[in-house]
Amino acid sequence: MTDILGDLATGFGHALTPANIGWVLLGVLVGTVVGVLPGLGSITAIALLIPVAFGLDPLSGLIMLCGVYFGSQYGSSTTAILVQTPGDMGSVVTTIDGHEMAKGGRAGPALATAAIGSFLAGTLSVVALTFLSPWLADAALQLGAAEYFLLMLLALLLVSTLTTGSSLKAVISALIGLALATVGINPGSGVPRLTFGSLELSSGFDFALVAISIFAVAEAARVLSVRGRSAEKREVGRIWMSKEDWRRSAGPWGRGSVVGFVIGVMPGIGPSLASYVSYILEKTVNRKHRREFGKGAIEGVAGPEAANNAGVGGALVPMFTLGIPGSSTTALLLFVFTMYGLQPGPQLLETNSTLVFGIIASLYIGNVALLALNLPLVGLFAQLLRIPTPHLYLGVTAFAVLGVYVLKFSQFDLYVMIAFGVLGFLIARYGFSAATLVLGMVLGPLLEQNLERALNISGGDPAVFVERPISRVLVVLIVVVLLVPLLSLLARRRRDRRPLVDAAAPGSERAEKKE
Amino acid sequence: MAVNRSAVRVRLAAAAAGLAVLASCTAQNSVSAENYPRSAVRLVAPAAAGGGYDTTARTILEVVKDDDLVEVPMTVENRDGADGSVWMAEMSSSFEGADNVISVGGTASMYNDVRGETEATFHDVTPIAALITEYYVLVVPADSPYDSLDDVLQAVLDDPQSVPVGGGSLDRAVFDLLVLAAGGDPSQTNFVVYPTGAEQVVGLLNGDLAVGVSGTPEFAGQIASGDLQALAVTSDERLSGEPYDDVPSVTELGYEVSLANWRCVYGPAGMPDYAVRYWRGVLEEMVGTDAWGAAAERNQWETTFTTGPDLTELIDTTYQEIEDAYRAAGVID
Repeated sequence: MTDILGDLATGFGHALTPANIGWVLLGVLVGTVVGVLPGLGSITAIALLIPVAFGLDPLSGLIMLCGVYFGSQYGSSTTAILVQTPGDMGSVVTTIDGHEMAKGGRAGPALATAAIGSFLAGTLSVVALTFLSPWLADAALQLGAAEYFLLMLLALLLVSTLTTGSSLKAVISALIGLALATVGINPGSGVPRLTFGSLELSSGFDFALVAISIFAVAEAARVLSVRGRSAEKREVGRIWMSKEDWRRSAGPWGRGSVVGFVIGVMPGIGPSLASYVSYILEKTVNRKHRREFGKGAIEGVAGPEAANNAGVGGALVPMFTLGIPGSSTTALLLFVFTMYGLQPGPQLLETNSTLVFGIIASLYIGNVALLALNLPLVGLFAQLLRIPTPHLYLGVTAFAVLGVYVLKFSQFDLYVMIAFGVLGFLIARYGFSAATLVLGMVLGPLLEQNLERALNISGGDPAVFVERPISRVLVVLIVVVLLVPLLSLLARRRRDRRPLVDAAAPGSERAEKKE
Repeated sequence: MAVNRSAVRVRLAAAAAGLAVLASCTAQNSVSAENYPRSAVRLVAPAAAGGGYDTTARTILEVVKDDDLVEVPMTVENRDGADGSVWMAEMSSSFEGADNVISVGGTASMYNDVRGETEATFHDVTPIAALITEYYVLVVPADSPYDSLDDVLQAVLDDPQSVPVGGGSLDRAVFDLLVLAAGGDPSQTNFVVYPTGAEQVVGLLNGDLAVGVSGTPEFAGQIASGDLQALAVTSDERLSGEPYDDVPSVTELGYEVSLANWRCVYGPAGMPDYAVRYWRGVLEEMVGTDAWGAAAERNQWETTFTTGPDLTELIDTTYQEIEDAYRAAGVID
C-alpha cells in the first residue's frame, strides 16, 4: 500500500511537468472531439495520433493516447443525447433515455449528469486501477469459457428490460441482432455463413458501422420524413441539474462505476456491454421511477455513462497487470508499447513502474481536465438543438458517412450503411428497439464463441457448465430470471381470478387517467 | 452551426481534392524509369490498426523516412478485410498497372486462398520482396504436466480430446503439421479457436487450455514473466532474441515442419518493372539499416529478405504446406 502510494507520487512527479500536462490536455481534447463526432471513435483517433506519439518520449506519447481513450468516452454521450446518434459503442444505450430527455427540454441536465457521472466513474475506476489491479486480474482469471457463456446468456435474458414498449418486439430485435452477428466466417470452423460468396461480408458487420447507421441514418430519415414540421425548433430548457436530478443521479453514478469497472476488467468484453448492464440494473433497482425509463429517466443516462467510463479504467487493469488488452482500443495501446520497445506483459509493472504510474497519474489529471472541459460545454451543446432540424441532421449524416468510410475506406461499407439505415428507420417506425438489436450483435459472437470453446474443451460434455462454483451460481441466476416473470404472472392470475369481472373495468380506467 | 457547416464543407472539399489526386495519379502511369517515383506513394496495411500487417507497414514507413530512403511522401493506409484478401483482390483488379501503391501482405491471406474463397492470390499480384518471418511458438501454462514438445504430442497421440489446444484460426495448420509429423491424425485434434491473443492468454491462465500456439510476439511478455513456458519454436534454428533464445526449435527436436508466418511487400497486378526494381532496392537497403534491426528485434521478427525466384519458391512452398495441413485435417479434400 505505501509502496503504491510512493510509486503514485513518483508518477505524479513525472506527469505534472508542464509538457506532460500539455499532452494530457491535447489528448483529452482530441478524445472529446472524436467522441462527439459520430463515427469517429477512439480507435481511429489513436491510429491517427500514433505517428505524433512516436516523436515523443514513451511517457508523453502514452499519456496523450490514454487521454484520447478517456476523452472519447466523455464525448460519446453528447450526440447520443442530442440527436440520438451514439458517438461511440459505449453510448448506444444512452440514446434511449438521453434523447427522450433532450426532446422533453432537458438536454442540459442529461449532458451534465453524463459529464459528472463520467468524471466520478472515471476517477473511481482509476483509484481501483491503482490499488486493486493485481487482485482483480487474478479474479478475472477465475472465469473460463463456460462462465463467460453463462454471463452472456444472463445478459441476453435480461434484454427485454431494455425497452418500454412490447417485450416481444424487444426480443425480436435482439434475435435480429444475433442473426446479423452470425454473418461472416465462423472463427471456430472457418465456414463462411450468410456471406453469399462476398469477400467483403466474410469478416462480418462492423459494430461501429451498424451502430452509426442504425441510429444516425435512421433518425435523420425519420426527422426529414415528417412533412411540414421541418423547421420545428426544440425546447432547450434549463441547463443545470436540479436538486432532484442530483439526488436521482447519485445512486446510478455509484452503481454504474462499480458495474462498469468490473465488466471492463473482464478481458474481451470491454466497456460497451458495461453500459447495457448498468441500464438494466438501474431499471431493476429504481422501482419508484421505473415507468419513466424509456421516456427520459435521468437514471438511464447517469448509470450507463458512468459505466462506460469506469469500463475504460477497468480495461486498463488486464493491460497493465497481465499484458493483455481488455478492449480493442487497449489492443492498439499495447501495440504502441511495443513500438516504443517496451515489452507489455506482467513484468511491465516491475521493469517500468515509473512509466506505468506516470500514465496512471495522468489519468487522474485527465479526468479533472475532462470535467473542466465538458461542463462549460454543456450549455453550448444544448444550444445545438436550436439549429433547424434539417440542417442539424444533414451535418450528423455527413459526419456519419465520413466516419463509416474511414473505418476501412470501403465503398461497400457505405451501401451496408444505407441498408442498415433503412432497417433502423423501420425499426423505429414499428416500435422495435435499435439498442436491443445492437446488444444482440455485441453478445452474439461472445455467446457463440464461448459456447463453442467450452464444449470443445470438455469434449462435448455439457457438465462443464455446472462444474465450477461460479458457473453454478450463474446457472441459478439464469433459472431465477427465467422463473420470476412466470411465477409473478401465475400469482397475478390467481389473485385476479376471484374479483375478475367487476375489478377489471374500473382498474383499467384508473390506469388510463394516470397516463 | 456555422462552424459545423463550414467544417463539413471543408471535409467535402478535401475529399473531392483527394479523389482528383487519385484520378490524376492513376492517369500518370507514363512516368518513366529514370524519374520514378515522382509523386506520393501509398503503403497499404490490409488490416486494422494494431495488427501484424499494420505493425509491419508502420515500421517500414518509420525506417524508410528516418533513413531518407524514399524522397516522395508516403502514408500508411489501413484496408481491413478477410486477413488481407479483400485488399489483394483490389490490387489485382482496380489498381492494375499502377506504380504508386504498394501493400504489405503475407501468409495470413494464403489460408483463404487454399480454401478457395478468394478472388485473387499471390499469383495475381506482383510480389516484390519478403521481409520478415514470425515463427510460431508452442506454450503451456507454468504449472503444466507437459515439459516438452514430445510430451504434448505423445498426449495428443494417446487421447487427442484430453489436450485442448488454443490458437487463432490460422495457427491450426502448424499444429496439425506437427501432429502429422509425429504420426498422429490431425482431424482428431481438439483445437479451440481464439480470435485474439488476449483471449488465448486468458484461456491458458484460467485452465481452459492445455497448450497454446501463436506467433512468437504474442506470448513474449508472459514467457518473460514465467506465467507461460515455451516448449518449441517452428524455425530451423533457435531464435536469437529474448525470451526465445533458449527455446528449442522443432527441427532440432526432430520434426520437419517449417510453416511460418512471413510478410512481404507486393505491388498491384502488372506493376511496371521500373517500380518493382525501385522498391526491391529500397527494401533491400532498408533491412540493412540499424533502425530496421532494432525494430525487428523488439517485434520478435527474423529478417528473412527474399526476392526474385526465391520469393516465387517461398510462395509456392507455403501454399503447398498449408494445403498439406488442410488436407490432413479434412478442411479441404
